[in-house]
Amino acid sequence: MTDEPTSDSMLVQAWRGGDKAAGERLVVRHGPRLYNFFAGKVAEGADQLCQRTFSQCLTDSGELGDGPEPVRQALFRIARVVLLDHLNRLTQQRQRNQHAGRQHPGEPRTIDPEADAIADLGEPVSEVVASRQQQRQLQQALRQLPLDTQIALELHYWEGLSPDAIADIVQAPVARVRQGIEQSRRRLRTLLDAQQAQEDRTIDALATEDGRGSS
Amino acid sequence: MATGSSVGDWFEQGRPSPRSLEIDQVLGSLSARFGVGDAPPVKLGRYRVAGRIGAGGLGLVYRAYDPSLARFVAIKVLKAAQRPTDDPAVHESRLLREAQVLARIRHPHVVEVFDVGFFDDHGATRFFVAMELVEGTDLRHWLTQAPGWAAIRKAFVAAAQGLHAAHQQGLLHRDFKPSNVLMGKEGAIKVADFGLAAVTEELRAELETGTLSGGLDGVATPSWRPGGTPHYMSPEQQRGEPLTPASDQYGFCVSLHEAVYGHRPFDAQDRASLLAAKEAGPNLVGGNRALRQLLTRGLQPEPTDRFPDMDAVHRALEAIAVRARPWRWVAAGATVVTVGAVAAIGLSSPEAVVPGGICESAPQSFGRDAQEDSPALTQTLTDSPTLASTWPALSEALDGYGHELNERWDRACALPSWQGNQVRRCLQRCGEGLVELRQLLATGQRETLVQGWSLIRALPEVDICVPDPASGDATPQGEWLAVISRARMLGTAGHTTQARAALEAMREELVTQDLSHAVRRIDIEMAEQLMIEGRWKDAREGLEACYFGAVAEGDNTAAARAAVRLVAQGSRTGNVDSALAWGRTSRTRLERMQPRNLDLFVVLEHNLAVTHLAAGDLTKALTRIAEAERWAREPGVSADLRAGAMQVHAELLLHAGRPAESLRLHGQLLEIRRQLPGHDLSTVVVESQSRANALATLHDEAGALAAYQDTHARAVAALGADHPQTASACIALARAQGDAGQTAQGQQVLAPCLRQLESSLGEGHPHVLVAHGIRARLARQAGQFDAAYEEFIAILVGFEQAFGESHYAVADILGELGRIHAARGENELARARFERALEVQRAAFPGQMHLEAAEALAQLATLDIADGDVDSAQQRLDQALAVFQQQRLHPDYIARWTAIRDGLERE
Repeated sequence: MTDEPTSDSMLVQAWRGGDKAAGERLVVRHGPRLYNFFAGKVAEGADQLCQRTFSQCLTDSGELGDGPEPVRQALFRIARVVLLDHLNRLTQQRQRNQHAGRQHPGEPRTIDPEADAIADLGEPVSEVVASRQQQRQLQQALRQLPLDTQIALELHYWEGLSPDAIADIVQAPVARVRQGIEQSRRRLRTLLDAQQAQEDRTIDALATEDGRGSS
Repeated sequence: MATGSSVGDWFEQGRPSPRSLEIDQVLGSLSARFGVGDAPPVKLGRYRVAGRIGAGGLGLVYRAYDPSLARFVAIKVLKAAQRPTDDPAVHESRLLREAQVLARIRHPHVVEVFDVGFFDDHGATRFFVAMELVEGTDLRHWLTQAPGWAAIRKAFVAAAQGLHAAHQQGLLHRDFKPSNVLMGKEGAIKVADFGLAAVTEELRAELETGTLSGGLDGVATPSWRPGGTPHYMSPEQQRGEPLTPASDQYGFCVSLHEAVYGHRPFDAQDRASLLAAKEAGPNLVGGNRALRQLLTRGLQPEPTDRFPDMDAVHRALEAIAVRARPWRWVAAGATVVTVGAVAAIGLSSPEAVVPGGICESAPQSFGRDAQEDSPALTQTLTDSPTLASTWPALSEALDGYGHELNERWDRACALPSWQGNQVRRCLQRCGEGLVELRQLLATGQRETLVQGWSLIRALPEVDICVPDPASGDATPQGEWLAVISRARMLGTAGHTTQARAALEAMREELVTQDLSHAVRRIDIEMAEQLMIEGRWKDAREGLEACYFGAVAEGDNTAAARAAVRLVAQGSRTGNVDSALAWGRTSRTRLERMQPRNLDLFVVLEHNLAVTHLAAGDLTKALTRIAEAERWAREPGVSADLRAGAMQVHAELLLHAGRPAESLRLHGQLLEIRRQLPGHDLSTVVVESQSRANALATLHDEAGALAAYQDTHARAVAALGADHPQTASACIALARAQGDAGQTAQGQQVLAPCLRQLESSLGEGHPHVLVAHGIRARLARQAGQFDAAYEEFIAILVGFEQAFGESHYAVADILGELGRIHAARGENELARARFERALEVQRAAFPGQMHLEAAEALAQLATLDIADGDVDSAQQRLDQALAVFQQQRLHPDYIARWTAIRDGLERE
């Protein structure tokens, strides 16, 4: 049969119709990239956020949208919203804790993904996903960029998505996405170079300290 | 990577790995939920990963099973990236050597390390430590619950012993802090992560970057200096000097200071100022003098000025009295609600109840004044005449309870002083519950007022406070049972945080007295509260720990209680197999329980019924709920429990197409309600609506309409127009109006209620879908076939996705679609829909003719008549009528179909 449901879109349709085998194939195909998407941005609960993303994709009865790979695009679109929601909750929870006991805690703050960077949110981020030094350094630098910029760069380089697809995911005009990728490349460069220089210095210092011997 | 590489190169080198142990484990859980769930077990060496316990800056911790020793262990997976200067082979062997040393310590207060090593994680080398699994929390989290001094002292004495044992083996911890002390659920206190700080340089870097919070800059910096958490780190460690056991002592004292004063002794904006503050030495004020002296010595900047070893610290700590006055809780205002309640009723604290046998007079008011003065309560009662009419009886019941407490209090004066003391401590706990309930009612919240009777009945039975000559326990059984009842009452009212605080405070006292069976009961209640909060996973872990702990100690009662709740946990989280397995376990345990606890049998069978229902097996659900009801009718079972089982049974009978039996049960239920001293308005609404449903299914259209009108009126009066339950009553009323031929009224009634329901429950909620079905039904009845058809098709798709294609709810919708086709004269299409409905009904209820199936047959018969196939019509009508009669549907309805059948005969 030629129309065996192997394309992502067909799998999603079959899955929404109750075909768990189709769900399994989608999980295997897209689970790892979703996990990596979240793991680079939150300290805990990347697994829960993956669950939430799949769950929303399952219950979302809407059309998948255009593009050469509508499912991957849809999953990332959902994932970004899930992530924002999670970060907003964390921020508001912390705000409440800080203001506990005071009379006027003020308006709950929501994250602006075009301006706020993960590093600004003050949430600790796990680095356990990075097994290589380059991964860790790159992640640290990416976290200094506005969240949507971080997402755009990752999708551009790691997922090879087109600016049109990325624009759909971050809900921004294509022109702005193109421009954003270009500008943030330069900013990332600066961050990485500065970081590298500092690490070189501290490794030298550590080697000297170790030379003194410790217990 | 070299400075100057392109951004593209960076991304190429920094691409996250597509596979890893963690990803495999996440895929496993995704597959279980969204796929076929047969992902191969994730393995780490010989260990099988069974879930993750935690994640943090240090690494990931898994719960894993070791098949060769048949036990669960905790496995910490750390990064083991080498420093660029090391030869990998040399590096690995050095690490292994260091790590194997960790496995040498065996001490009750040290987490035992079983195994260490490297493993290949899809190409990345990682380091793991397999260790003893301690289920519970850590000292840092435990301290946030404001434990008492006795409990703090106990925890730190244990930690001091653990540290001392390691020091004697020549091992240093290097990173002692509250989060490294594990507090097991069964009361175990163990120091974890011994020497791990020394294991990898990478780890050291993370200790610095990952754990900074609060006073320091908080932003991760990639500096690579010697490890340890700066706040707890001794000055010598911060300076990078050689460490000694006195360095661990320093971290210990910083932690103890934090536990007692609520903050760390030194704080600063940056590392240098922090070091300077430490080097200047501590300057402590306030608190117990002996403790202050201990801390001052342990926090000396010079290691040689501190205590000679941890054993000396331990002895100094033990020399401080258990009854030393608390200061932290008072100073920080962290008094839990019980303390406030004691103050409100003018009771003295538990230790001082009976000073030298003088019998104090009983507290008179139990918070009544506060309640009477509450303007919020007065306002609510003024707004709702229904609530106002039920209030006097509620208030009287509260006064009666308070009066009973006072009387028993006075009677306890005649007892020998130690017994009187026991009884009055117990009565005091009951009194705290009463005060809390009055405070809740004083808020004037409708939600609380409508369930007032449930709350009153959840108050501790005063009878548990009888003197117990057999018990030599400092905390007699009645006292902690009273706290459990109070917690249930608070949980019922939705105040789970308050409930858990009360339980936690009690637990702490019980732990210090090693009353493990009582601790377990408290833990089970704690899990119950977590379930109310929807924290299913935490609840499961707590309950499993209780169960296995109870089995290990031969505590069958606790094992049974935990197992029964695990059934509910499994069923609510969709884990049917687990729920059923726990059901079997529960039954075995309950059978062994002496004396028998009938309430638990009822709860178990009820939970199993709900489990089967969730799995779509209505027949089994009915068997179980009938069994629950059988138990519930035994003498001694609480009337509320009995009524609850009957209500669910009646509802399930209705699903099974047996409305007459359902209605009969409702009759008995009304009888029980009449006999109870009082009942909640919310319960009355639910039961009255369920009864109306039975009437509607019997086609008693006039009776159903009256019953729905009555339900709706009660709901509006008691719960208010905005309550979701009112919306649902209103929607049912609209349906009944449609069935009684008042279609236009029905549509008018429905519209605002549907909007209300959608906004409170969300559009995808099953109740909302059902309401849409009623809107479509009304449209069909009004002849608006196109709109009705479109809506039913959407609901059909929704139901098929939610419940599966052969669920009985799907058949209802198919029947509705068939009626639309028939009305449009599309007989072939109508026939196809009814036949499919029939098929679904038969699949859902094999071996029996369901009432809805008979309805579909009757509809098919009318199509047969239209097509001139009299024989088939006769045959079908005979079958349908047999069922109608068997189910005792309304005579008018049966007469209508009989007339059609007889008409065929004459032709």
